[in-house]
Amino acid sequence: MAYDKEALKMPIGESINLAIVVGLGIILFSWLITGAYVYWANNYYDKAVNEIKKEII
Amino acid sequence: MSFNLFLQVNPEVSTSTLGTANPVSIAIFFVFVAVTLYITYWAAKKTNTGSEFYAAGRNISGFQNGLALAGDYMSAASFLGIAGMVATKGYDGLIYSIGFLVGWPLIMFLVAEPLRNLGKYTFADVVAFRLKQRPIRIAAAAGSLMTIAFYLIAQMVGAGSLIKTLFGLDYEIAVVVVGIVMTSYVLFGGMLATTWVQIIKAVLLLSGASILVLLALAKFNFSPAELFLSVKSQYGEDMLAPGGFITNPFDALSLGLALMLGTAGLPHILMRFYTVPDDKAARKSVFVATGFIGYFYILTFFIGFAALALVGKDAIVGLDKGGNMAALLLAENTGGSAFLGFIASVAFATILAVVAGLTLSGASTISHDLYVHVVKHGVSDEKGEINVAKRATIFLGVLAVALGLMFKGQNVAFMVGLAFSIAASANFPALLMSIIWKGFTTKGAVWCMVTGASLALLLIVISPTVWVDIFGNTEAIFPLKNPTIVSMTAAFLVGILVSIIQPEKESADLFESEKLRTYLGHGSEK
Repeated sequence: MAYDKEALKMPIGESINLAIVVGLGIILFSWLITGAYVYWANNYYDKAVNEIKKEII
Repeated sequence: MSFNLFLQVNPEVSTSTLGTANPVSIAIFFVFVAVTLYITYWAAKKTNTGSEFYAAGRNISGFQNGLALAGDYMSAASFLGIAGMVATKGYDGLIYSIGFLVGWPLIMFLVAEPLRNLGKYTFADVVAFRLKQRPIRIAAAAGSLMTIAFYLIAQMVGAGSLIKTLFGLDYEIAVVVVGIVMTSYVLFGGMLATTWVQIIKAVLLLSGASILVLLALAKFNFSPAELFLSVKSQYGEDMLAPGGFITNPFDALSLGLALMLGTAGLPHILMRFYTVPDDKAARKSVFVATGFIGYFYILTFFIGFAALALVGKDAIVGLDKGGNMAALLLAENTGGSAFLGFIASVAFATILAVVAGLTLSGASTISHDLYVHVVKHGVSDEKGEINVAKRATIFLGVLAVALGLMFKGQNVAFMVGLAFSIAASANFPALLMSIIWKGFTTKGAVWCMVTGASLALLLIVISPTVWVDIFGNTEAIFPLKNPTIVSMTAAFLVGILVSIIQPEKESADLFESEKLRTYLGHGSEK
């Protein structure tokens, strides 16, 4: 991010620039990706874990 | 006392009502204390066993725990501090909060699930799982208590001065009130009351900040574009783009490491993962917390820019050089002194909730790690353990007030950095290696924690923050403001070296059964 300061100033519309969109986008993205992991883990990973558990016990 | 004065842009003579007793904020604060004490009374009836006192009976749902975690993370410092940073430095303030957020889910998944599966009440449970109990418990308790003590000092001093600024109440009275109220939460209501206080505060803070942003955006016809346009026309477009925030990349990296990994080493945050029924709920709580924290940072970003556009940079910096009063000035500007009172009491509630969490985690370290596993060699009845925990709570409450009074007027900003630094250098490496590395030994863990804690402490004393700013020397011996990059690396290296030089067969043998429990949750505490 620190390397291309000029590119980030590129305006989108008349007042919002790329930097703001990227910044808020990162926050949104990290939340979504957390959600994707939790969804996968709670629905698929746990099932696999439970099957392994049954085999062991 | 007058309540009808509004801000005029005159930085020398602030005409804000900040610092006078505001009846609305006092009323709201009393309601908050009354409601939370009632919850404490309700929680007290449900808090009898050890698992109820330390972990709310493991009955907190994933969503509730997510809110409480977010509450722990959204301290008064981040609410007032990040909004202030955006208001004074512009876009760079956002980079700071992104740094906080991005590492959080990653790190949390790294420790949250194993923690829930391996431990009982404290993170030392995990480190000591297959290692020798006594040495590990002593070292881990030392690391925890140091982190808690420095964090408590910073919070108590912050609470005293914040309340003085906001309510016009005496510093000493403020510190004593905070001490008494938070001790009652912990003493009578244990983790259940502490969690609900944190949840209420998180809801108050999120809704307060949302209303603040709405009120501010209303002045721009609800168009963020107009807000940014106003900032741009007043302060130039550089305010909206990344600038010279990162002056020293090592220092920035070091601070980033401390904040991200330190969070995964803070005892009062780690303890939250024991309050949920299983690892599924632990995961869900990280997701919920990440969402709320992210939303909160987006709000502070808007609050900062709105304060800049509506209140003006001169007025903000005129009242407080760091810009910490930006959010409060904006509240007064948009909603009058009544709304200022609301936001001010939310900030107070925030501090109360955080110190309660800290005190509870300190009390559990003293009773569960030190009393049960060191003094009593792991054999103790539950009644005795809770008795010790309650005595430890009173002791910590008195200590917190005493420290708050002792450090009055001192510059304690570095202590938050120090607390995070010790958490990242002592607690986190030992926790991580004990979970993932088979060859980790008792001696390795003890040396790792001792190295991390003492190096973090020593380096911060000779760093610019203490050596120059507090002791008044001209040049610092250690160049970085935050020592984490050195102290944490050293802790990892020492832990690895000692473990390799002197392998411990018994602990390596137990690794397979630990792995079974880490990843499958087999045999974990219900």
